[in-house]
Amino acid sequence: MKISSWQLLLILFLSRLFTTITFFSLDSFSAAILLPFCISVFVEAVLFVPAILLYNKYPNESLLISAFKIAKPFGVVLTIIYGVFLSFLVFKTLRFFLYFFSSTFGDLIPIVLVGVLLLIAAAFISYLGIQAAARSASVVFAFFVAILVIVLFATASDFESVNYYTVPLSSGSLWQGISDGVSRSDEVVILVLIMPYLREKICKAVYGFLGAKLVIIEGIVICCMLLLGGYMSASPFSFFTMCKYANTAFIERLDAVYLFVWTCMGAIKLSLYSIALKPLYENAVTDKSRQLSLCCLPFIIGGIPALIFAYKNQMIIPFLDIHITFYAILLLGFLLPLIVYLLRRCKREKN
Amino acid sequence: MKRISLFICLLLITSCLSGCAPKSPQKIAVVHAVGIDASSDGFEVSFQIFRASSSGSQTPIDPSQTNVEVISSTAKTIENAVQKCETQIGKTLFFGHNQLLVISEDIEDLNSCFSFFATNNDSSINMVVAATDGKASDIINCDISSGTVAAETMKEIFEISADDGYATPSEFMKVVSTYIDTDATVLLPVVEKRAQAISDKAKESGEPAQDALEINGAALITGGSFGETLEKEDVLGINYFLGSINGSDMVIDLNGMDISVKVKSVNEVTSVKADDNEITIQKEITVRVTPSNEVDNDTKAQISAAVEKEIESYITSATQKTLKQNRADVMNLVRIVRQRDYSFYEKYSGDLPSLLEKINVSALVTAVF
Repeated sequence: MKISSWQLLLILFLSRLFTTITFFSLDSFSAAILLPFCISVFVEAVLFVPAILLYNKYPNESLLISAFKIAKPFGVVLTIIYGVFLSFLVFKTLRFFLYFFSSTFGDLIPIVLVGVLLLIAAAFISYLGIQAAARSASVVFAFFVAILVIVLFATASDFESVNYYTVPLSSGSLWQGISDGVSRSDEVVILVLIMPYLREKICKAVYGFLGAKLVIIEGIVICCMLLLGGYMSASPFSFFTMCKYANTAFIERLDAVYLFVWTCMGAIKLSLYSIALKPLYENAVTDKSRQLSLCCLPFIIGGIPALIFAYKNQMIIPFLDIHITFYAILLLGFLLPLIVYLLRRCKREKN
Repeated sequence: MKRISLFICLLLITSCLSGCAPKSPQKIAVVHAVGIDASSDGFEVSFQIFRASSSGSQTPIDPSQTNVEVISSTAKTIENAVQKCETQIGKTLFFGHNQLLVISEDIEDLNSCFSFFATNNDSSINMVVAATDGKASDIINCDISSGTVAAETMKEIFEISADDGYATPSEFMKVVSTYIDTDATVLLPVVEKRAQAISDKAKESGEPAQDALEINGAALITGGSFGETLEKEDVLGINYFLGSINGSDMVIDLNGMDISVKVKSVNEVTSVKADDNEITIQKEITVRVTPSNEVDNDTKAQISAAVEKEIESYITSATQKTLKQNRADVMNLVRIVRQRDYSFYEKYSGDLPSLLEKINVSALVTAVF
């Protein structure tokens, strides 16, 4: 069950796009992030290097399988570390999505029910495998492009060039912006785990993803600046506000359509956190019900706390500290894969 | 078979999750316009809500009727006023189709007015915001029978006035954006109610005079409070400076003869020169002039000169009243400085009146045919 570079690119891109729109922070869309975001993309290009080296040398092995081949205890430790981090990502992604949902759509549906259904959908996608996620990503991407085109056409006449400005940054602010950008890019960690599913060259997928991210997400931020101006500081979800402002002759409010696309993206993103662990057990565990149970594990460990927080309407303030995720991504996305690659090479040479 | 069963289950669950249940038409009152007046208790808030006036079983909505009713209540906060109205009518007020917000110039707490609608999930951010020197509830109560709902007609009046240059763009999102960027300074069109002239035949048959709305100038808000009211010519000057005129009528006096022309903004080029103590913003504004009749080249040159002189006088008067007298930025000057010379802007970003003192504005108008 392998996917093409284009499909991998789409999955990673949708995952990152979802983070951009639902990760709230009043500074997340402003003039101050334009340059740091650009630089963070180049930093990520370097962070992806160990994954590329590992894939080129051992294309059918994920990071965890390589770790097990080095030493079983090492593999077990890494599996636990990555398992915990993936569960944390499930928790964080779900909590932020539910916060976005309750902030923008009020009391339409019980928030816990929304979370449960999203987790069920994600578990089903992960049970079906990477190909199901990839095909869904293609369809959802098409919807996203359609919405983006409609929103841009509907709002372009209201863009004001005076709203665009750049901010000279101190080195502290620049570093803060770069680490903020990197801290939202858990795709660096996801890739080292799902790369055995790729059947083509990895560089195409990785650098295509980074290029698309740079152009499209930076473009969205700039469009939001041009349209909203100072209003960006009054609305935590700027792209959503832009969709709310867009008014066409056939649909007056596009925000509901936008929510549909976003929910689909959320299901795909959540499913990746479970699919990332599949290469470890899908050959060893043949029983379908056991496979399903293992698929659901990250959603149970990470999802239930997120639902409890959502039910109690508590935000996860400590986890808003970008430094935790920044260093975790540095470790799990760059350092550990590099160590595994070097150890694997050493072991091979010794043999 | 198992997959089909699972699919059917998911479909059933999803269909039960329709978000429409809390918003069924019987449970909500759709608000089309809101008026906020000052009262001794805080705010008097009026809501124009949709109520279908039927002309028969085949026609549930009769466009010849206003199809609205107005409810109001008085409370310390706008949220309390909303709750009181909801209790009064036994329905939830839904602001998703709100077209117009009228604020009385007696209101001192504008922040509360704006923040209520900015934080309301359902509120439309495209609604028009206007001011009135009378009672906002009178504007909301206007008996405008053209169109299905009175507020739709009201919004169209503002949009046409904005195109003509007699009203500044006043959509809620843009108003709040300017309000935030310029330290609580913004311009709102002033709306007045007047009785519309009716025909002698209508008078004889005893038909009452219909209400009409008129945009008459703009209210300048500085530091979050209402200040001076600008005349129509000053608003025109601001719109010419901003380049937002889609087609404004101008009457030129040429050798004792009145010539009517249509003027449209084409282009603006902004240049900024800064030294240590002051910053000069110069705009080269190009407008297109279309006379109502064919004219020869000599007359065209005279018309161009007259139009350029007229527009420059509007801009000078607007700059004098807003920037010089009131230290108010309604011409995007602060944003221009922020875009072109951020370091100059940063020096004064905590003290915008001081920044505005340092800004000199000049405009050079070129009229083309």
